[in-house]
Amino acid sequence: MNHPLPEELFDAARANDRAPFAAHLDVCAECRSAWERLRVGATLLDEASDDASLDAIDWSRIDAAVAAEGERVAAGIRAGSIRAPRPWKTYAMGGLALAAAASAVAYVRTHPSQDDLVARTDVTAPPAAQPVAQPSTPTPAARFDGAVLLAAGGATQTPPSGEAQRIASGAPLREGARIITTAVGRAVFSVQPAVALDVRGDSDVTLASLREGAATVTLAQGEVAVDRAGDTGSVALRAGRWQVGAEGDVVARVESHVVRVVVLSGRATVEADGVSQMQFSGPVVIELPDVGAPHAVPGEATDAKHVDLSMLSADGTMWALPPVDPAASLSVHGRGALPSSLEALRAPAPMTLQARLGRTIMTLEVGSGRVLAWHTSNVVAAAEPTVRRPPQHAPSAVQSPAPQGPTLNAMQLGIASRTAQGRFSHCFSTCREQNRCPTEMHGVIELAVDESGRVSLTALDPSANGARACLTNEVTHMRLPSAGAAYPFQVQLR
Amino acid sequence: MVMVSSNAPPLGILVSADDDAIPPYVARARGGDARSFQELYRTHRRDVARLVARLLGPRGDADDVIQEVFIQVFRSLVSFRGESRFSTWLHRVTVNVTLMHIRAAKSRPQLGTELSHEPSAPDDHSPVEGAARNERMRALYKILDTLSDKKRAVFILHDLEGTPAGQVATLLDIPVLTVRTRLFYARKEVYAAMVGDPTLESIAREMQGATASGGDEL
Repeated sequence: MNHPLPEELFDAARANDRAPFAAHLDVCAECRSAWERLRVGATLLDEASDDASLDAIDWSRIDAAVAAEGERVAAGIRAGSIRAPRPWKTYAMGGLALAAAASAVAYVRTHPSQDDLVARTDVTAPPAAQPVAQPSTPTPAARFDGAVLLAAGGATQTPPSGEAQRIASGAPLREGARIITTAVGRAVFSVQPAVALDVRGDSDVTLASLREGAATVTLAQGEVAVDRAGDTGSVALRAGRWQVGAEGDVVARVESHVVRVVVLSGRATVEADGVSQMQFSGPVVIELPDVGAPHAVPGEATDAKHVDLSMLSADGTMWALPPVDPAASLSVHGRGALPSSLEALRAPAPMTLQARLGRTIMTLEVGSGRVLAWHTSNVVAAAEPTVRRPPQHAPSAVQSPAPQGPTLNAMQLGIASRTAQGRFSHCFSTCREQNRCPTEMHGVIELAVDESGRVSLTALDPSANGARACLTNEVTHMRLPSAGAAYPFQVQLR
Repeated sequence: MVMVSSNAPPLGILVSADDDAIPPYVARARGGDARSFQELYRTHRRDVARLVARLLGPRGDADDVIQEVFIQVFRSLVSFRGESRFSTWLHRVTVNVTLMHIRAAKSRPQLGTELSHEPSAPDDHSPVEGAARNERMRALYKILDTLSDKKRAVFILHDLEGTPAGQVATLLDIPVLTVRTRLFYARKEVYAAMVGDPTLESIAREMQGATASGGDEL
């Protein structure tokens, strides 16, 4: 006797269509019982699907508001004040980092309650959304030349009429320059006398306007941070149809369908297609979707990749640094972390960099007059060298119960678990070393395994977003036990 | 595989056979024709309203969301380049605006647990049946509010709206396999929550009974 598949039975029960299985249900008491019970659940969903709730809609109010908006937008289009935005995504597609996913940042440390978020968020609705002119580039008189403060991991700049050059060379950045960073790259440079722009890994940025008093930066891909040391000089970040005016410290990241902006301090004004939308006061996390309105979202308004730039200055000397193992963690005594792939920095005064690799600590004296070279200064004793501990955040794998698919036996599950651990562990350790992942990670990685055991990444907990590129790459080479049919698989982060 | 279908009429914006990539009134509206904005609104308002109402549940703030959807559609119309069907784009805007509204509502302080809008029971139900139905709907949407936006959207579009998984994938711009994965976890969470809800517990128990005897899925 061929029983119908559970999903088939569910679908038929949901549609209250007994006919396809009538003959079987007449003779199979087990399926008949299941059918009757499924119909109970289907009734609940039927109730939720009915249209009764449309009766309560006050159409007259909506009609009037929508008609007024239609008139306003139509007038704006005719007047030329509302135009189609530039297809910024195509620029990103043409970039060198085509396949690279926008690097993500984990905003950890503070966890404001949702109520706090609302209370602290100074949101101002647009005043009747009057059409205004398209976002205009400020036109101060003098050109401003940006000075490179820090370069790491192979960041390049391409002048408007010139060839790409490594930013570590210390050449000034001028209006129209395009900055592209590798996955481990980073470029920090001044865009105003007391304002630095921090371009993170896998990013594509163009200095659309760089003038005394005002700068406009277009973000096609990746993440940038505006770091303000004073109150002068305005910086506008453009991404897609959005423009964010930063009046404080801000981090902006382009994601698949949204621009995520972390306002760390001060205010940020948001415009869409030249129309003023809202003002937000930090700390707050806001999302600017491809379609729809900007909105604050619950989240930690912190910058996990923040680098203390106070020890750098555009007036200092640019130093090319001798290479060090990229796996090392770099820092300045008492002044915070630096990118591990650091190549050059501009220092106004001598400083001592520290590199830590495993149990080895090395130092580098910058600006002291000595030849720049790393010196091993200390070796940290292992705490308990005889104890082999699992790596921190090593993923533990569990198979998700499949809807109607196969299950893995204990041996297959063990193989799958070890495979996942072996493939993913280095992603998390590297991610943490490079300050792209928080110390605490949690949640799950959701995988989909096809009939032949090929794997694809279907979902990832936001806390592990910094490792997404590595994980995505790993799963393309990964094979999990084949179970004859597709099945979901979960890897627990802890 | 047989797709899920509901007894409710399907969304016109999903199944229109003559659904051009850029309908004439959209093209005219993009040129600044105010009357075409009205035509767009009149053509799609009930479909948008139905989807908004279903995504929101018995909250009573559907009016605001419907209005916001069309305001956003009007403002963004110049950026619609016809790379997808207009109906698909409209549906995406509707889902996004509604989910944003839900997210914002969740972040606001809750002054009470009562819903401002009483879901209306069909006319052929007695007052007692209607009240019970309202209780069930309140309980179901309270559970749906606990789902993540992604799972909630997939569950409602597929299991309540009857949209095939392939269309859900197109609308949400995600792979079909992801739709199925999210659907699986959404159902799992919904039915687990139903077991703990006094209003829906009996239904959940019966459904679990069916699971035990009929297979590993609802």
